[in-house]
Amino acid sequence: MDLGEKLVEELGVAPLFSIGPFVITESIVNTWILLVIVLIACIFLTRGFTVENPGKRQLAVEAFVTWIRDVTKTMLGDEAVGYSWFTVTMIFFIGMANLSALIETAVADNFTFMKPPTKDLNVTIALALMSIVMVEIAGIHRKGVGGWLKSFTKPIAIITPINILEIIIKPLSLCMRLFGNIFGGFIIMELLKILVPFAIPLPFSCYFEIFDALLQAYVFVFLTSIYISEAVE
Amino acid sequence: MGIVSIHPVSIVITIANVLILFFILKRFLFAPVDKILEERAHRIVENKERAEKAAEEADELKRKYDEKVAEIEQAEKTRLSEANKKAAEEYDRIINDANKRADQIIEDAGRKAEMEAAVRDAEQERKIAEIVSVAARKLAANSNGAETDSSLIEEFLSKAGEDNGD
Repeated sequence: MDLGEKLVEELGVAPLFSIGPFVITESIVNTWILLVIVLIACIFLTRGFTVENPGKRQLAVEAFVTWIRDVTKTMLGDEAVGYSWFTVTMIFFIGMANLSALIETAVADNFTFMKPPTKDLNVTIALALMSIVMVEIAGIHRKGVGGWLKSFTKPIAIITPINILEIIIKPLSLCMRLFGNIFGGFIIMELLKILVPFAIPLPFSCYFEIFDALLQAYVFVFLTSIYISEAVE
Repeated sequence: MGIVSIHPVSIVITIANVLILFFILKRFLFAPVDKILEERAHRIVENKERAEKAAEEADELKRKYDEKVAEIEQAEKTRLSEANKKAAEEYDRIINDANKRADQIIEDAGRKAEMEAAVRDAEQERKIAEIVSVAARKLAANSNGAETDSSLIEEFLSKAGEDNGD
């Protein structure tokens, strides 16, 4: 098997099984596994919390929750602070999906355990769709349908087509950026592993699978936050 | 399936997955943490209120205590000045008494001295009378002329002088 074929096989999202007419792919199954892990982790981490004399685990969880909320609220700004639940969920979803590459293991021909779901274009399309829907909902909620429609003609009427195009461009860039980064990082890592199988891939792996993974989650949420705060201006 | 094939079912399921994640986070991570944080904030406010109340009470107690101390000091002062006044009165009274008694004693002594002087005068008069009577008797008994008379007078005079000189 040459490199090209291997890459195509690695990048492909294999359909695992069907429920009636619906084909379930491995990225969906991996997301479900991740959701179960998150659920178990949350239950375990928040067990036995006390108001006074909290343990180290509790302090860490409290600090993390406070921190992630502050980060997302700062990105959204005071006007759009009510949408932080959405951006927090997004940053969690993308972060955990990207980080899952750390424990990626091939277990069958058509199933790789913890193959990052964000490497599936369909997942990033879904995320981008949610993001743009949220942005427009925020705009409508703030300005009313009339005001929202009118906002397309601002600052001057002539750029209305560009503003309408943005509805497509914004999510497209979000989805492609996330997909492209994870996809590109994966290709580089695969090439490196083939060229130098020992030791050298480790620092690169740290960069692509930890730093870039979290950075892309941050960038995606940061841009979504900017779009939302623009929409509610 | 190619690398970039669009798969609507996956898109829909992913949207559902994100919503599920939202509920998991909300129910199992944020809710318990928020509960604890709120309770802690509540307890902190409560403790602060309690501490403020305690401080207020302490201030009130201190104020009362200061008042009481001032009262006691005032009472003590009054009592002391009264005692001083009384003592001064007593002192004056004693001194006055002493002065009166001293005057009395001096007066008594004066009177006694006067009386003694009177007694002495009377005695002297009596003695003179006696001498005169003695002299008269002698004169009458002797009657030896003028010489005797004059010597007798001299004797009398010298005797009287002796008696007076006592």
